[in-house]
Amino acid sequence: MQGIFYTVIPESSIETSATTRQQALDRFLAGVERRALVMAEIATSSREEALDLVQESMLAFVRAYANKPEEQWPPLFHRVLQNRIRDWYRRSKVRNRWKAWLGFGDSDDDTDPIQSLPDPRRSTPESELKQADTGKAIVAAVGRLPLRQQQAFMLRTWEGLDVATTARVMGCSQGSVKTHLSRAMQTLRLSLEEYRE
Amino acid sequence: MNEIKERVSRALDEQADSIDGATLSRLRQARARALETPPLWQGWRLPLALSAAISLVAALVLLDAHQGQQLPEELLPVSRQLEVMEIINLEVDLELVEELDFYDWLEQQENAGEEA
Repeated sequence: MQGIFYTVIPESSIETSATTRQQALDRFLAGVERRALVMAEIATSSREEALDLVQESMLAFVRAYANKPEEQWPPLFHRVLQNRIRDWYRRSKVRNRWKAWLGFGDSDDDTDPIQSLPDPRRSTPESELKQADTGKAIVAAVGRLPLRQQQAFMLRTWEGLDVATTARVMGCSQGSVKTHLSRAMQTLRLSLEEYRE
Repeated sequence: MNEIKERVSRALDEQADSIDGATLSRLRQARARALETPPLWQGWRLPLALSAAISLVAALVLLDAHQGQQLPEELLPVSRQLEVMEIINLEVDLELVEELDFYDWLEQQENAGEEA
């Protein structure tokens, strides 16, 4: 005769485990929130939009992935964040098209919304030369990169993700990551000539 | 090229370190709100979905028994199994479903890393 055996876990043990996980989540999010904000702000050129994206990403991440092993949290969080940034770009593209159609902005006929969205800050290399802070100028140069190049560069170089993980986070092939990264490096090399140390 | 990476990384670090107090406070609030969110498997959605599914299965079994029909081996006809799955699926977070592939890949990576 087959029997069903249950393991009784004390309630206090469950509560302790939940509290520990909550603390681990808090530490993890506290550790990534600043960098996430910088990434989102560079992509959107708006602190308010960036704060919204980071908040949405935190909510979605906790809701869906808090139970996953801690070592998986960084790529999962970046996946959520990058998806939201990409969605924001697509929405911006639609808004820009409507504005152009209604006569409130310039028309943009490019087919790739992510690669070709115009720089919202309308900054130019000339205007950036006037910036006193070289660091800000460098960050602005990253912001001028097309979104996919930004993502590849920041995830690989700043976050230190490997090519395979970056590709999965971005939802593209490893070859695409390498191409985006190479183009980003070329552009940044030219942009940063002015700020050579 | 390494020099570029280092300079840009340093500039990005400085940018992250120089975020003002008001913004940091908003980030803390956002984090607190996120941590208050019940995870998908702990919130009301999943238990509700499971309860609904169990109730439906029980109702269908009773109905079949009442009508004196013999149940097939798989307990429910396919059409009714699909009805049950439909109800369950309504409650499953779509984003989570989209990410399943990514999650599988992560696990494979870790398993490969452990084996190596």
